[in-house]
Amino acid sequence: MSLTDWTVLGATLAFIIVYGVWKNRGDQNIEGYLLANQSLPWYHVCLSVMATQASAITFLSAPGQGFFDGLRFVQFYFGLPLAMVVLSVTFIPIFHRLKVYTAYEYLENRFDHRVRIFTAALFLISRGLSTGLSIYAPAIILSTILGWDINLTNVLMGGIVLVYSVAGGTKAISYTHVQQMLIVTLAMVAAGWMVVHLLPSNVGFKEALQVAGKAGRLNAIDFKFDPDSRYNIWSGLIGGFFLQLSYFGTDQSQVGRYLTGQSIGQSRLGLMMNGLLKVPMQFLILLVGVLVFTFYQYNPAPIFFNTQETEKLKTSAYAADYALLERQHQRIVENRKTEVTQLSAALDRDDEVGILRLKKMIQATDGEAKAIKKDVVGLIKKNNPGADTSDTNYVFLRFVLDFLPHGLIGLLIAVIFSASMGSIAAAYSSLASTTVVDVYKRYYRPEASETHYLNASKVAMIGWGLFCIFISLFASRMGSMIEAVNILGSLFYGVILGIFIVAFYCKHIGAKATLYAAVLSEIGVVAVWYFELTAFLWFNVIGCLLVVGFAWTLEKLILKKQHGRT
Amino acid sequence: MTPEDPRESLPDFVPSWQHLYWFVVGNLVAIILFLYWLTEAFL
Repeated sequence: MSLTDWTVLGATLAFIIVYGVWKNRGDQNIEGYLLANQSLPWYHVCLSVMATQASAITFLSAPGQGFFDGLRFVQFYFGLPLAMVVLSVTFIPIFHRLKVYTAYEYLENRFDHRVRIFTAALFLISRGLSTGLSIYAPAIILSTILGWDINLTNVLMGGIVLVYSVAGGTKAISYTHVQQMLIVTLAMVAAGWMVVHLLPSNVGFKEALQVAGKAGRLNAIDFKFDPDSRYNIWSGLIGGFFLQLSYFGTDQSQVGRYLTGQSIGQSRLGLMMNGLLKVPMQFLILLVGVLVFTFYQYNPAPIFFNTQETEKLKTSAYAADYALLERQHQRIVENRKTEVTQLSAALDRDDEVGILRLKKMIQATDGEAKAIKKDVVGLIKKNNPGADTSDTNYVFLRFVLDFLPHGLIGLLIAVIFSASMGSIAAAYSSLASTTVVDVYKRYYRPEASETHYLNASKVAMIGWGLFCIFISLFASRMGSMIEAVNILGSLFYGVILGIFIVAFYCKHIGAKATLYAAVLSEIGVVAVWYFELTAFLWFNVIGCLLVVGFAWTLEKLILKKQHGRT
Repeated sequence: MTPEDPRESLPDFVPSWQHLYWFVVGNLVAIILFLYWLTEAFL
């Protein structure tokens, strides 16, 4: 990174933080600190919700996903607009009318304090751990590629957010979300434009899409129903719907965002706009990855994008094996360039036979490249068992550093920071509000003053911030934990959603049946995961349906028992 | 709309919710159709 990049990075981050804190200067109370006095307009709600969901990994990993796997990941978000409609019809009016600070507060009104604390505890455990990893995941990539110290990057990433979140509360978080989303959008559009600009002069946007399509990267829709396939239209619409409904409806990091809306109408409108914008946004991010794929058809791609690991291989005991793979890769790079150049010419001539022949050749070469990469990953693992071998996360950053102009590099690193800060800030705030409202105020100090709760919220936020930074430091020694905690999150979401569905739609079911049903369902979901019965996206559907089914049955049994006694 | 909420009387941009819900669903259908076309057109 040059001085220009450092200046752009520093100035962008300083602007976001100072503006956020400055907008929320002045006296505060607990409602202002946790709910921004329910004063924000719909566009704040919309951008805040989007910034909370889009973590740094979204902007690092999604283009890489587009590069290796094409557009099919976009289907994962198809359930989101439908979930936004259900949230607007049911969840928002109930939360707003009851004037709750957290989603779990509602559960005590509907059931009892046991269901509330059970659900809040599930949330605190999963969100606390996953936020630590939200800090760690981009930090490890930045530190690997840029040579920064991993611990320092973790502390910097988690610490900056903690400062402005504690100082400004929810309003500062929301204002910074707006700035973050504007910068992210601007930088990603600039990056997409630059990729097309860097293609050979005779290859325009349409030709780039044609090459990507022939290589199987424009595979946006898959109608085949397969429970083991992670991304198809059915898992996206059904599994994605349940996942997004549970995430937006029951995860306090999201509920806390739309509760800041100045009215039911403004909160609804914010979520509706999210429903309109989210799928196109993810499509465009994936498309940038697909265009980077086309770019590397005409330009030499590294054998492995995490070049730090391949550099280590060159001086290891596996140097000779690696050199052999490198030579094979060079041959593939040359073949690939020849094939796409011939494909461009065949497309210009409308030579259908030639196009079909070259399409098969390109796909075969792609298969060979994947096989070589697999061998390289094998060598990297042998050389360094703790190495990060998921190359998907490194594609976009490698491209940015190698080919984009100075200034834009700094801006895109700022995007990674901004995205990370947005989701971490919302998580800190939600952890603090749940701790104070659902635990501290409910069980320890129910009658304290406003100032006391305000200070307690600040202390809770600092506590959770330090905990999350600690987890991120610990995670750097346990790379495989990331996947485990991601699965952990999806194990809980379905059950939590099930509790809320029973609360909203099954008015005759009481607290006892719901609590037992939730515990039984959690055991059921863990069993499904343990025996690897289906892809993780379906855990949310299974968890939710199990809670509803068990609660319904148990309620009938409880009633029958009561009738028997009387 | 909730008449009991006094803040609803503020001059917000409040659309007809039914129409907006259908618009969001319709937008999703349009995106899926576009992506299906994209998948097939560049095969």
